Amino acid sequence: MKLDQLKKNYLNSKIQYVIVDKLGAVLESDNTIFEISKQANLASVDPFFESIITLLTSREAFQIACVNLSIGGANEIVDVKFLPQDTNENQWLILIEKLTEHYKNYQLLAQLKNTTIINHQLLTLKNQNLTERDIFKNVFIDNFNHQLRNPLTTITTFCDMLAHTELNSAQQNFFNLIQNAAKQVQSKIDDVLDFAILQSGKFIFKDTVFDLNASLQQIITAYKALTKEKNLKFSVEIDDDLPDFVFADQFRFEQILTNLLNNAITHTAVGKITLKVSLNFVRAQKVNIRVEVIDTGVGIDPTKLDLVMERFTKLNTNTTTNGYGLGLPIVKTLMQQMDGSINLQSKLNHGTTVTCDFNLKRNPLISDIEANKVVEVKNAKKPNGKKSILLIEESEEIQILVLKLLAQQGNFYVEILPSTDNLLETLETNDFDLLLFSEQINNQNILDNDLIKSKKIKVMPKIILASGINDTKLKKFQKAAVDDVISKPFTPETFLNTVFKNLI
Amino acid sequence: MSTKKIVLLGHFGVGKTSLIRRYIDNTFTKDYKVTIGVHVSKKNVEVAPNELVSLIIWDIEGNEDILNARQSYLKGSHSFIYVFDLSRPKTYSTLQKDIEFLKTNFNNVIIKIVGNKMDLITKDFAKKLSEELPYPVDYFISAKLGSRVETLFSKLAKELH
Repeated sequence: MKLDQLKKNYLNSKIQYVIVDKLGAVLESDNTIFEISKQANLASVDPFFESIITLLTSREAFQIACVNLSIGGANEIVDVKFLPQDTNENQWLILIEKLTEHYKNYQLLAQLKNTTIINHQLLTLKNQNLTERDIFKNVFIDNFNHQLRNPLTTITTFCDMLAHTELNSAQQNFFNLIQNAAKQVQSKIDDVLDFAILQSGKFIFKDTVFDLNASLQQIITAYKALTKEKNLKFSVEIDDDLPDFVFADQFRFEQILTNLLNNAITHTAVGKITLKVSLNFVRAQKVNIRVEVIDTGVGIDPTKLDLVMERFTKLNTNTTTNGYGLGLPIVKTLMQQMDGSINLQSKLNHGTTVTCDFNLKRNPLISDIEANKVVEVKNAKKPNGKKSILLIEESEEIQILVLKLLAQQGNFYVEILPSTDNLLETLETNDFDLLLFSEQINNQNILDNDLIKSKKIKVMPKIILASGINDTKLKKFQKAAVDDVISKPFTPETFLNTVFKNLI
Repeated sequence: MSTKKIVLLGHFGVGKTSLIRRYIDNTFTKDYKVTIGVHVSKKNVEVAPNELVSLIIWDIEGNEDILNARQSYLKGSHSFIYVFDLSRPKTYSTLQKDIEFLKTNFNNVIIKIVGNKMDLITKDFAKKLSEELPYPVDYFISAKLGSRVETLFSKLAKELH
């Protein structure tokens, strides 16, 4: 077949020519695409043409694109042009152009586009709906919390008052039961509220520098008593390399530990609870600390370990224990939000080990000092001449801190004593302009140490580095003729201002 | 027998094709297949004893903006049925603009506003929505369940007659 013939065939197959009169009667049709009989009326060919016939009374050409036509078994998508004939004003030429392939390609694209848009709109709606539900849930929980806390406060307050009255043995037992029950309810309300806040993602962590060792000691003291009540052994292993201060949300850190210890106690009838805290690593501004809580309790079926991390899961429904409830899901969510990780290992009837790796920040003060940032002191004048300072402090971190802060300022000589053992010898061989000392040395209040009351120390300016201040402490400091107090954790400005002030 | 051209308008995916399928063939499919261009269907409706009206229904491709619809499709229309999806607010967000355009450019053409997918919402929501929309909704229908579909066309046919 010659190219001209091929071209002709191709073109001819694409366009059908139909001549009709203004009433729609078919005068001629080349039937290239559709079978349209001569003498038939367009109205009977397809409803599309039926609705077009009324427009043929005008003499204006028009075109209708992308029409799906189904005539005599042929289904095509076509563009239709209606052209009034100049030679005969009663006649119209209709050009039907077959564009099925072209429009089907367009349809594929449109299908993809529209489906994506519709799905996106539905997803947005679903999200809005979930947000509204969440708001409702939080309002409900807030109200619930508020309405429960008031009567609970009454119960706990009167319990406290009752504790100071004389009770006989039976009354004391009842009292203990009421007090424990009230504490449990209080704890559950706190859990529900925390969980709601954490799930909605609204919780903002309040990071501060806190004394890690003091925080751990407080927890250990509390849980020594609680494990003793249940006749359980409580073993503690604290790594000596832990930093003294970290920068994190102290309340949440302690909440995680207490939640894990509470769970361990609840699910352990005999044996022991072990708390291990160790240093994983210190890297740049970060410090990674591992906390392990190991119990010898009922354990969890290994196939259900993931379940206990989900909300409201309580596996052992046959026991009278409190179940895992919200404790572990709260811990899991808190750990995730604190950029840490949690791992649960358990063997049924042998016990459970929960391992939490905390990714905490180092005390930013230490980081600043390591970066050799010189602190600008605004509220006190730097003393003239070289000054000697004696520091009595057992924490290496504080020792380094003080040393570096003063070294950056220049003209300071610092002698460090980690204990009071060599205090007298040091005082005999050196003259100091200022004494800086920690409130606690070897778990003893330094002010109770007779060495501090020596004549030489009495005449020196003295600054105490205290772990928090209250009225009782202040009175004690005043009585011991302490000139000033720096409360730990402190800022470089506070430290230097106080030191400079006491050296002039 | 008179012939009346009805054009179904509205955003894509609101159920225009489903509405016609339900009316013409009494069938429904939940699968969404995009309409491109126009499909024209026909149904004769008895509006009075021995009096028929031929409804020629143009199902045109959905568009988020009525100005983007092919204006040649609207030529010679006797009625517009503006369909929106009751479960997708976006599909009735342009209702006021679209209806005003039709009223301005197509004088004396009957316009019906129809909320489809009634099966996905509650009656309370429909009532509340009806009060909030700038134009009253003529029919709350469900092409899936077939509710109010026949009523819509038979009443419209009588009105067009």
